Amino acid sequence: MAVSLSKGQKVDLTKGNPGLSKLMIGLGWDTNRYDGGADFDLDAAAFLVGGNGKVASDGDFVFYGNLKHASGGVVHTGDNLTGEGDGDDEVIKVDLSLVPPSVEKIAFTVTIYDADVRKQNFGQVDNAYIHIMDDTSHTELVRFDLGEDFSIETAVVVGELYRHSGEWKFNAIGSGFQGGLHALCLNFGVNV
Amino acid sequence: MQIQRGMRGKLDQYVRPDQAIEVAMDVDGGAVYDYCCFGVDGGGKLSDDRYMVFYNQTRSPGGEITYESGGRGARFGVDLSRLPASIQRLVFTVSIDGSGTMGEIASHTAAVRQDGQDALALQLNGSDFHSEKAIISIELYKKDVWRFGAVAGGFNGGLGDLLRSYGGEEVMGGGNPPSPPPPPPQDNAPAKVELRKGQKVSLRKSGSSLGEILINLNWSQPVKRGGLFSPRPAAIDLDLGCLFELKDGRKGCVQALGNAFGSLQEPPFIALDGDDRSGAVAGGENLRVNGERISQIQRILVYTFIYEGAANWDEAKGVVTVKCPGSQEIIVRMDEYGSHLPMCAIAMLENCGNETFSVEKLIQFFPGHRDMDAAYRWGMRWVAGRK
Repeated sequence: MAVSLSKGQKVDLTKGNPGLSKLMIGLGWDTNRYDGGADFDLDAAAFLVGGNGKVASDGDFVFYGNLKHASGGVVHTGDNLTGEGDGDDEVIKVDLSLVPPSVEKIAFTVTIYDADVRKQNFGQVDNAYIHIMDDTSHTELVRFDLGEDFSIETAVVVGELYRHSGEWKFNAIGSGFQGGLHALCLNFGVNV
Repeated sequence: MQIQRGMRGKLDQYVRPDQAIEVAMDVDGGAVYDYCCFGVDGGGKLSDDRYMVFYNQTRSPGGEITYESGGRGARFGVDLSRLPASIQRLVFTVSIDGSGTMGEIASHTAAVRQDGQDALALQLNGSDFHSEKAIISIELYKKDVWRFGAVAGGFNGGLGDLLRSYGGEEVMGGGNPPSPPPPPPQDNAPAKVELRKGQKVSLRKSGSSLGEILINLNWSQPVKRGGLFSPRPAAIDLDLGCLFELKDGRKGCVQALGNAFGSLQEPPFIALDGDDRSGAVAGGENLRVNGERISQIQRILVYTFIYEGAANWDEAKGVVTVKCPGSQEIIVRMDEYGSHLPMCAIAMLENCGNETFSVEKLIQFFPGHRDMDAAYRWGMRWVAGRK
């Protein structure tokens, strides 16, 4: 039975679940139920950061332009350009056993591509969620429906996996930011 | 504060939500714009169509939402604190009646006001839209507290799509359908729209021009009752007619009384076929409007009156049908109304952008032509006549 999280909640993943290593992080959203206007292109990304909250190198930023982390521990399964269809819009696979020890935290984000030009923001996005599946047993471990009424934000830090006393935990963050992926990159120390 | 598309927030940061506010919507553009507030439930559905407030229903049941036209658009008075708990969201919409798209507008503004001041103001122009014919401008919705959302998104299909998205009915002018109507006396056409009082539909043709609009009146003579002392039912003669107003200001009437049969090719471009004095002719009475000449017609008030016999609408079982090629039929039944006045205003056809007529069901009874004329401000002089 999956744990349904609310904003700010933290939950154990590996503690009491020995052997859990391969995760599938699914992110979903609904956009643009109206006619007219440009398509929404939302992108999921992962930032692998150290204790200082910054990436060690630009390769620690896994996104549509860098689908696979060098360690093989974080793999973006591909870009969905329209967000159409039910189920997860984008999926990032994580193998905790492969994540380098220097990585303290993996932050999962969703940003709107070309938001400024297309005059789009998260006020036009509904039902955003993240869920974590055990990729071995295909069971859902945790789910976080953001349920937040975002406004003119163009980037959201949905949640993060983080190390705590030798275990991995998940933090349901759900915070929106303006400035899109660019601002997030600067925040996490990626050179853009 | 200026707000932008997509912006959402808590209303109490900008106004006192427990006190009266005004939502003002305006459009500067070349088409006919209608403004509406849908009060929908937690599921986003219009479960109570009395909470669809617009020009044809200017008050919600408790007066929590009111409509009046003003500026270049409409002004909605809103008292959120008095809304029933079932109403969770107020959706403010603009739809285009007739031709045109939101992409063609010069500007659209929506504002939430209190004490005469704009607390929130959304300003958009045609480049913010494309081919939408109906848009949700802003929403006020309850999620823990009352919030606003600047949606500014819409539907290319117009009001029909908008209605469907709130669980409403197509073409009906919104809300839930009436209880199932009795079977029509002449059941020969497949698709029909029954027009309820106060509703308006647009006679939109799929093709390029409007063609001929046919307004038909049919009725039945009362069934002869048996029995020695039963009163003999009087014959009933129903007449169909219309008042017209042309674009050049000319006014008049087309009806059998006074032999004013009109003309299809000459002004007023409206003609009456003939007078069925018994109701026995299968076709009844027909009033035709030459749709090719719509640009010269401003408005037409269709009426029926009882020329001979008691003013007994129940027994006459009159049915007025408005047919327009390419559109669904519109049917008005007279026997639902128990008036003893001999004259009844049936429907108002009004020119929409020289492309189509909007048809509004009226059903108002009057003692005669003069009173009806006054009620609709036609401004003609009347003398008694006989056919």
